Amino acid sequence: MNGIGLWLIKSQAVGTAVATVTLTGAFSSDYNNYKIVWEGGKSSASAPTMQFQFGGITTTNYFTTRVEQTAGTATVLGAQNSSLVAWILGYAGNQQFRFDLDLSNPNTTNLGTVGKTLYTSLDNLLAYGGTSSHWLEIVTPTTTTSFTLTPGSGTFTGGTIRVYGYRN
Amino acid sequence: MTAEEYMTLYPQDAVFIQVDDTERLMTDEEYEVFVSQGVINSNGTAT
Repeated sequence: MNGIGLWLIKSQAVGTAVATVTLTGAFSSDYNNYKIVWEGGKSSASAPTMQFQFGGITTTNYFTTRVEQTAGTATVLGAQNSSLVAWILGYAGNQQFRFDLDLSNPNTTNLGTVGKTLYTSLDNLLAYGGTSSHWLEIVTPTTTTSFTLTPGSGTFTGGTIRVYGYRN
Repeated sequence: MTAEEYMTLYPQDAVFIQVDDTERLMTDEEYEVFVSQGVINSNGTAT
């Protein structure tokens, strides 16, 4: 057991036509770093944003930078989102998507709560992907144990969300 | 997209809020926010 570096904390199947999905009991003082993977899902709309919000942190303190490219094009897109109520992980495909988010210090959110996402999506037969960096601007440490994922428009269906803790 | 079109695509009795293994329908207030935000984001004016 001492050799296990990644521990599955929670696995949650996502239903059909879900406007938001919340996982409770995801974060604790057991780990400083987490991985959250959602694979096999799809969006109802074409390429809505995938938005991530910590439980109880609903203020405009979420910042994201993002780089993205579509297969078959040479153009690399850059974007940033400042002072929002959620991190923008990337864009979710209406045929399939995979989001892989690593977080540091989510249980006690403060200036040290940061994350990065690697995502790939297939949307109307277009494949695209990107990487995002995230920062939570909370000065006073606040404990949170859950998170919510929301599409910018429409709903999500299917796939499984898994939360892992990296051993300290 | 108009709010009416959005509501036709996503009627209140066909979209769900999921918390862990539990799914439920939205309250009227939640649905109003869902529609307004969805319309804004569908039309490309927000995230």
